[in-house]
Amino acid sequence: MTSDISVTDVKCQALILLARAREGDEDAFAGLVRLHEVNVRRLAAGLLMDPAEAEDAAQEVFVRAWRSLGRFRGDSSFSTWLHRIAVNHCRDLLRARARRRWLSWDGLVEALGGREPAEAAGPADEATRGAEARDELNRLLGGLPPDHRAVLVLRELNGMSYAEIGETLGRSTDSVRALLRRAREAARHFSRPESV
Amino acid sequence: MDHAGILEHLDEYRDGELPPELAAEVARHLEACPDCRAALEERAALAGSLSRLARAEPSEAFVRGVMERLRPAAQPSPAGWVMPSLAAGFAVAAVFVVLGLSGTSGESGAAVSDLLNAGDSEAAETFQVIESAGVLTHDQVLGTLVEEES
Repeated sequence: MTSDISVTDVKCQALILLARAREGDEDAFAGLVRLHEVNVRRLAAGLLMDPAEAEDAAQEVFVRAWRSLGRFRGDSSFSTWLHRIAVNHCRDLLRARARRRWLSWDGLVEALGGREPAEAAGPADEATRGAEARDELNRLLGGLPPDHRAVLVLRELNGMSYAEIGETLGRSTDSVRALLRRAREAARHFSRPESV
Repeated sequence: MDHAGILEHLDEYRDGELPPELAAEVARHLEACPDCRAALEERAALAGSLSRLARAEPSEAFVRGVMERLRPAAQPSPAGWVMPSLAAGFAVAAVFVVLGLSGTSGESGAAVSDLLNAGDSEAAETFQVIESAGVLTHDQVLGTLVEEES
C-alpha cells in the first residue's frame, strides 16, 4: 500500500512539474529532466552505441521537448512522448552517420565486404574500445539493426509495455511483439560465446 | 499447449503480456518442465546482462547541461546571425554620438563627409556599406542617435 501511495505521489509531482513547465517554468522543467534523464540517456546509448554522441543526443532530446512543450496534448504520457522524440532524433543521427560512412573510405571497404550500412552504425568506435562493459554491450547489441536495439532498450531497460513501445515507435502491439521476438533471438545469438 | 508452444510464449510470459489464462498455463508447465525453466532463465540472463551493461546513473551534470542549452545565450537566435550589420549600424550611431554629428546633416553623403573630416574613414565606410545594403537607412541611424541622446 505504501508503494502505491509513493507511485501516486511521484505521478502527481510529475503532472505538477509538467503543468508548470508548460507555463515556461525552467525549474519545473529541470525537475522533469531529472525524472526522465536516465531512461532517455539509456535509450540514446542503446541506439547510437557511442557514449559521447548519446549524451549529446539525450540533451538535445530535452531541448527539443522544451521547445515543443506547447504542442504536447497529453494524448500519450509525457514519458512516451519524450521517448518518441528520442527515437526520432537518434534515427536522424543514425541516418546521417550511415550517409557519412557510405561516403567514406571505411564505408566503401565495408560495402565491398558485403556489410549493410545499417550494420555499420553499430560497432564501437575508437573511443569506446577501452571499456570492457561497452565492448560487451556492443557484442550484444552492436550487430543488431537500430529498430531491434530500440525495442530491446525500451522493453528490457526502460520497462515499457508493448502498448507504450508501440506508441513510441509508431507500431501496433502485434508488430512490437514480433519485432521484440526477432530482436531477442538475434541478441541471444550474439550473447553466445561461439558467436564471438 | 505443447512444449514448443510454451517456449514460443516465454518472453511474453516474462514481460507480463500474456492473457491471464495463458499465463497460468505457462506457469503450470514451468513447474513441471526443467527445460523450459532453463530457457526462461536464459531469457532473464540476457535482460540482466543488458541492464548491467547499459547502467546509467542519475547525473546532475547532465541536467545542468540541458538547462544551459535552453538559455538563449547558448542558442543564438536567427536574429543574432542576421543582424551583425545592424550591430555595426549601432556602432556607427555610437560614433555619431561621440563626434556630436547629430543634426549636422540630413544626407548620408554629408554624414560620411563629416566622418571623413573627423578622420574616421572606417566608420564612414561602414556607414556607406550599411546604407547600400539597405539594412539601416540614414534616418534610422539618426533616429537611433536621437534616442541615444534623449
